[in-house]
Amino acid sequence: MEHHRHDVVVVGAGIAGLYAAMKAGESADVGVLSKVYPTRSHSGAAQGGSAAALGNEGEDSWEYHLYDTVRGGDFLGDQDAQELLVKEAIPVTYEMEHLGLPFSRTPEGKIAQRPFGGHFSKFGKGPVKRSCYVADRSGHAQLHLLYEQSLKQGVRFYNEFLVTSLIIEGGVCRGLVALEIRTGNLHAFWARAVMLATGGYARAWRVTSNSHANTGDGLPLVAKAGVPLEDMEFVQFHPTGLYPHGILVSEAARGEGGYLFNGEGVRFMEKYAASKMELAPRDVVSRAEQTEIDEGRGIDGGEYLNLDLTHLGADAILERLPQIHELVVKFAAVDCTKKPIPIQPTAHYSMGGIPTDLDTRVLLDGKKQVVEGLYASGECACVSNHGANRLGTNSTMEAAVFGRRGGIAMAKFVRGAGPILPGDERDTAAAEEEIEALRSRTGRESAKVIRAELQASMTENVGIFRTAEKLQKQVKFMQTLKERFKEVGVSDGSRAFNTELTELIELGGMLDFSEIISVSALARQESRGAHSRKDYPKRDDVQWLRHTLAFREADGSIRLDYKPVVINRFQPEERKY
Amino acid sequence: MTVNRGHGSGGFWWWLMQRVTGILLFPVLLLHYVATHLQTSHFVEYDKIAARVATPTWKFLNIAFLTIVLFHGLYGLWNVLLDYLSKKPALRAVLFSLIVTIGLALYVLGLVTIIPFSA
Amino acid sequence: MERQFRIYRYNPEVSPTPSFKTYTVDVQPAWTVLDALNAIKWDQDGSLTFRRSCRHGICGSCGMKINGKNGLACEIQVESLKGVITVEPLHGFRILRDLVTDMDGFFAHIEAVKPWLIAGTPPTDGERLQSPEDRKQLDGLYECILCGACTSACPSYWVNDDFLGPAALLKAARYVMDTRDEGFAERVDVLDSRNGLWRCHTIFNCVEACPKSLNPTEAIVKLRQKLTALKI
Ligand SMILES: Cc1cc2nc3c(=O)[nH]c(=O)nc-3n(C[C@H](O)[C@H](O)[C@H](O)COP(=O)(O)OP(=O)(O)OC[C@H]3O[C@@H](n4cnc5c(N)ncnc54)[C@H](O)[C@@H]3O)c2cc1C
Ligand code: FES
Repeated sequence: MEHHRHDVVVVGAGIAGLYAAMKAGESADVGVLSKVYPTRSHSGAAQGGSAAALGNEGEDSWEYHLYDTVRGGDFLGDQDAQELLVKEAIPVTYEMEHLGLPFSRTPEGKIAQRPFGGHFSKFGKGPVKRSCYVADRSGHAQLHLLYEQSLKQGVRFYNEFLVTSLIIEGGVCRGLVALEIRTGNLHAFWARAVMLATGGYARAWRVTSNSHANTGDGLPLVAKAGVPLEDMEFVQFHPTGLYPHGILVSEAARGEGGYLFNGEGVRFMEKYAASKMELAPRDVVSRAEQTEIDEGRGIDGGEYLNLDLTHLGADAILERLPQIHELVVKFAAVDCTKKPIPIQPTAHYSMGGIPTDLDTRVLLDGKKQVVEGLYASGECACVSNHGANRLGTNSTMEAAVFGRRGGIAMAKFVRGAGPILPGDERDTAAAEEEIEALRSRTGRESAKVIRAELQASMTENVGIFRTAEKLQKQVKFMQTLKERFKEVGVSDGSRAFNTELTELIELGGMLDFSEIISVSALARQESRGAHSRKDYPKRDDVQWLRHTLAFREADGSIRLDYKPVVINRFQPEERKY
Repeated sequence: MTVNRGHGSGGFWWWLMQRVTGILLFPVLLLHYVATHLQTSHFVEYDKIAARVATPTWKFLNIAFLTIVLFHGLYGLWNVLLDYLSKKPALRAVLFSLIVTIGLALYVLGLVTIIPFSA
Repeated sequence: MERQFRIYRYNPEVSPTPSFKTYTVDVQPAWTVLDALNAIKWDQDGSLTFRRSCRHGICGSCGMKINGKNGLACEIQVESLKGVITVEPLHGFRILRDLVTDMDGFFAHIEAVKPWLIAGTPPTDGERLQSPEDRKQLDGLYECILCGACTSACPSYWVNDDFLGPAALLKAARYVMDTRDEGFAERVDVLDSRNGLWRCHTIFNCVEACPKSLNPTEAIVKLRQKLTALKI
């Protein structure tokens, strides 16, 4: 096994990981591992932009942004973290501009901003333009910028390395083991600080906007070390997935003025959010859509609805939404300047994740005690910025703000910490054995079938609308799937680029956290944000205004614990749009 | 694979000269063509042509023609060869010297033919 | 509908010589070539190897040669292709396995053009101003997804992989043409090197190959114009 040493090792090269690497790289020796080439990371798919109350196009303030974020998250977000997010969003946006991000511009030459669902001015009362964007390629531009800046800082990249285990001993993270996909060899990395920025987990659903790589790998890695996973039941379904692929049609389409119609030609949002209409938060719109579909008012009674842009005019569409136009032509053969776009809700974003403090340090008990040297940021983490439901454009901003904070915190930590303590083969033996065992599996089950059954059942039972019955069914079914997973064989005997093996590793992780999601969702007997229980349709602040912490115990069982929400500004109120 | 870390001017002036000679080639070639092939007033006679070639104007034009054609042709050849020689510095040096030598030899040959010529 | 896919197979651990293998796939409506490759991998032959991630043409993982033309497997509808569909790895890069090529050199060239803004101290509060017209100069330059289709289509690159190639030069143009950037002089060393701008013979293959309809040749011409302005 090859051994490497860096002060800081970052796992994941999306916006969060790269921001951290770039910042830490200013003073520390940083290595970044990513299972795909950095510019292939999922962050590049973000289209709509990142929220910051710059006020370039009308009045805005971070207080308004904070209020929207708190309310959008149905009061489950921690308000101290949310305050940091909305305040630091402003300097971070300017920092990205200074680094060269090619923002779209206002006529005066300032950063252009557009409206987005759930964002308002004057504490929910007026409209606002808050999303700072680069046409509809915002994430793409940010991802490339941060990659290039990391290169400039001399960050060392290990591309196509799949991290398979963390080495955590006595509450200290010392390093990790990763599979070099190109050769099939295992490598050990020793570091003072390790950051997980492995992205989201929506690949566990059948209809999803997420890339193939979004298998939530970071979560099972920490769960195995006894770290709980926080608020995993909160998964956002985006209202406009292209039918039938689930590929995302950005919310910018509605931000720019798109309408939603059902099969009867009615703008059905009138019924669900009369004042905010299409620009109500995602959970609200997705539930409205699912209700229309379930009640037979889909287009031709089918499983989709129409997103109509035609009234905006071809010029505006081609100028402001060029990528959406191209995407819809390519994947649905629809010219959206002339015809409506067929859409359906699609699994999109993971609010839950690895619990961290405000400096992105991972919390061993989910509450106070940190795992020394272990950090997490971006979509895989849960500080909790988004509570029960994330607002559009808040997540790339979270990845930037908290990736940045993590980078700074790690650089500071390694300055004060002692030397790197490299381990030897004894420390990595277990990780090695695990992978070798997987490699030589000969069982008769098919990974594809198990993955497909997982995704179908999660969509069916842990989808937009949930009930105790469905969730119980899913918890049980997870046992069956996990048993069958043990019988999956690997037909590819080669070492180099064995993607059958890497897909199997990812699937194992998905089964692990999907069970945690199901158990957490079953326990939460209320409806809040994206977690919508038909059998408990009301939000219950007395019982459930608290974060779920799900521990994977040594015997494989799941133990639930809870922690209070930080509420220091806005008291819970009814959420109406 | 060697990463391009840059090594000073690798061709701007050459490239520019290639463009300039390319453009100049056109009028010079046209003139040459008209003068030698489209003359209808007389038959090709040594005396008449020799008299023309011996004038200072035509000497100048022919030297220009020689310079432009040799540069453009040989640099064009070199440019094609360069595509294949990135990883062969020794061969590159040899071929470069060879092309320069051939070019100079032809140039001198041309000059000694044009300059002293008298009818 | 049943369609046949003739796929380039190469696995040096098994055999030193590449070969083609044909698979029959029951293609569903609206399937892309990537959907078909996934179906082959998952249902017929787990050893088939290719890269993919976003599956909607934004991450640049799935560049390959499909019926002789470079493109993104995830963007090309099977229906749009005729006959037996031949799928090969991108030409011009070292093949690691099946449809997977070695992209390290490609990315090293991107790094070589200093793809970062080189500029003086920014304002302490707020953004630098840039007019919408100035910003427009970057359209057609910043959208590159680094899939490698252009560089892989470049005959100059085929014979000389030290040539920066169209993608890296496009990336250079993305910064050079940025009105906020002052680093052109710093990049001249690389652009005006033997394997820089001058290895482009304006063949336009890159333009034809780009799945994002970008124009690297035009970017190269712009860089040459800039260089001329600087030197003269
Ligand atoms: C289609 C789409 C559009 C979106 N649009 C917007 C938007 O407009 N605005 C907004 O704010 N948000 C948007 N989001 C959400 C936002 O893009 C993501 O939340 C955010 O980009 C996540 O960034 P990240 O850095 O946490 O993770 P990612 O960008 O997903 O990166 C994860 C990284 O981890 C690496 N990795 C994962 N597992 C491993 C492993 N085991 N070993 C090694 N490396 C690993 C991957 O290679 C990758 O580099 C959108 C999401 C989708 C799906
Ligand atoms: S899979 Fe991302 S471009 Fe094809």
